[in-house]
Amino acid sequence: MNPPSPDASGRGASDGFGDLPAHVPATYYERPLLKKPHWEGEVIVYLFLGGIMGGSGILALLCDDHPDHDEDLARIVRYSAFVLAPASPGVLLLHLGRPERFLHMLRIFKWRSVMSMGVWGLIAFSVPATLGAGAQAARDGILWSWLDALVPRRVTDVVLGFLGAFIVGYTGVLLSATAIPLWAIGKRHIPAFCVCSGLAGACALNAAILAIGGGNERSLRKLERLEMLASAAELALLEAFRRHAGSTGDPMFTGKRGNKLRTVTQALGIVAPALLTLLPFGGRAKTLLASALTLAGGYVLRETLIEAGKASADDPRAASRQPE
Amino acid sequence: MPACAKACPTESIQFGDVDELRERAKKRVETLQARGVESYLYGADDATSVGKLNAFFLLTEKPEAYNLPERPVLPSTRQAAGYAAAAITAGALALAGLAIFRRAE
Repeated sequence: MNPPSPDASGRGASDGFGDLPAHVPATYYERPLLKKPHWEGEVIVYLFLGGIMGGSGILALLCDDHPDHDEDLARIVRYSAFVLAPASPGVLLLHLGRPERFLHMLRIFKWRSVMSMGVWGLIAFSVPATLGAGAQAARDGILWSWLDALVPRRVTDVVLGFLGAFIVGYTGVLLSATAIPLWAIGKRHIPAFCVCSGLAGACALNAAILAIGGGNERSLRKLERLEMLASAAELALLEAFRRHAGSTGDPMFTGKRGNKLRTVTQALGIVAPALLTLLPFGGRAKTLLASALTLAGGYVLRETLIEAGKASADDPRAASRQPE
Repeated sequence: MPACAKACPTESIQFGDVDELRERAKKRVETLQARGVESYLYGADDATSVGKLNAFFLLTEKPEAYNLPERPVLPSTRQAAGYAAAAITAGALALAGLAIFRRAE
């Protein structure tokens, strides 16, 4: 056998295929094994908005007509789901370069493709979002009042909740159903913390709008409490993911990206809003500040996840160890 | 026969009935090993393939040295775990949310 040229990256060879000589290189000239995705800003913005959109869907289910329900909050949640329903996939369409290519996705319905499921999920979400917002507009006197009587708001809110839960979670599944090492190793953690972050973002956005409009104090407290819960779960899941990923997680949790994640997402985006919420004073301005911090943290989480995934694709050693 | 197999000057690329190719490859591995050259088939069994791809390699170094994954996995097999994790998280948060939002004080 011709010995390959000596390679500084040589790794002990007795781990897998018998007694191969020690000079056998562990990679192919340090070349990346994978082609990394070329995803830039639009995809990050989509993941961010999609999370808030899905979270607003879940909130619509929670704010549905019940004895203690607050019409102001329900209105804001239904309208924000309605506005985000076209906005977040719209950003994705821009990313296609030729937006009309999107139509090709409508010829396909494939259970095994997360992207296909996502497209149909987004389209399905827009139906109850539109109906719910229409009925709300009728109640508010903007549209004809018979619309309110026609739309079963109970049903649209529940459907919105389930579709919202799908949309807020599927983006994580979409990432982990690839060969990108960082995303693949987080097949359970990434969808889970995407759900938490999306719901926390939706609480933050809707609380901010409610606060601007001078809404009910009790509704604000409820949103803050749910946001704190979701954020705490996100923090725990991020830490669990860091431990689980090991060295594959280095592009996300170490270096500049790791610092940004720790300061913007974890400290400013999760811990700081929680502390602000617990402060006994501050009023509306405090709510707005806490919401802005949560939203910024959610954006940086998506950005770090995407950029770190691209970096991990460049590492042939990580790519070679494909997790189950 | 594909052009690459036809044109290959060293006949390294072979084309034909896959069972027959597999037999030939196994014999070749035995010959090489008898000569003291470590070799094995990559992509011919479950450990190094994702189902019946009907294409495989005879390698003499670890897969990484050829820019191949140690043990290839179909990425789509991770979906079930991901959807389940998302559903459990969303369900737990929604239940907590129901308790927070619908508690009459």
